[in-house]
Amino acid sequence: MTPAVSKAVDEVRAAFPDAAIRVREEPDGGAVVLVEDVDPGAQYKQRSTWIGFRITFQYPYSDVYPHFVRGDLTRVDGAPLGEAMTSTTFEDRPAVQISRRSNRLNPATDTAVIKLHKVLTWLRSR
Amino acid sequence: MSSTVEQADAQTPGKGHSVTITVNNKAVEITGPRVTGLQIKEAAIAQGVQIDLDFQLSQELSSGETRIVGDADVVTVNKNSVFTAVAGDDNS
Repeated sequence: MTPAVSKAVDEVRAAFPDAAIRVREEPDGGAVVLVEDVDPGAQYKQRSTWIGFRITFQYPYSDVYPHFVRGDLTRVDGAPLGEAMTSTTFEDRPAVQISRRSNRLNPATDTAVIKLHKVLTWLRSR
Repeated sequence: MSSTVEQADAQTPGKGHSVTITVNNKAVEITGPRVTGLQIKEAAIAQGVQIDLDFQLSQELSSGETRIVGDADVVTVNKNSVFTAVAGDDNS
């Protein structure tokens, strides 16, 4: 991993001290990160999901995007998941892709862990 | 821990004491110790930090954890309090 990607992974570990964090290093210096067992929110039938994302070797000059959660995520009210969420696979797992792009990315402040918090906050607000 | 997030009223402006916190790596003076997320962003903008009021605020804790601070959340700040404000995301 590049030093920046390694630091980003450390920050994710620190932010989720009780969660299992799986990291797969990529040959170009990036990494794929999976955080197991986070709460997507009370509006979902499943109160636990993994959330995964790729930190590319260009980080922090590239967005950490998109994010992925368990593929069977469904709402309690039976409504579709809605905008910015589509079914796919991620790391050989059935997944829902969450497409939230940071169009005003500031490499000095937009870290992978802050992006992860933003995506989780958005998911819980749906 | 250097601060706490509460769902309570912030102090009345002007009744506290001046505290220098850090927002996006810049020193920001604010009347503390109890302030809302919105007050932190307002103070930062007034002192030249290049953010907008709709940015998402987070706090870097001494433990290494990061937590989101909503506009109405009240935090107790001190000179070691470090915050980051970033622009929101868009669907794509």
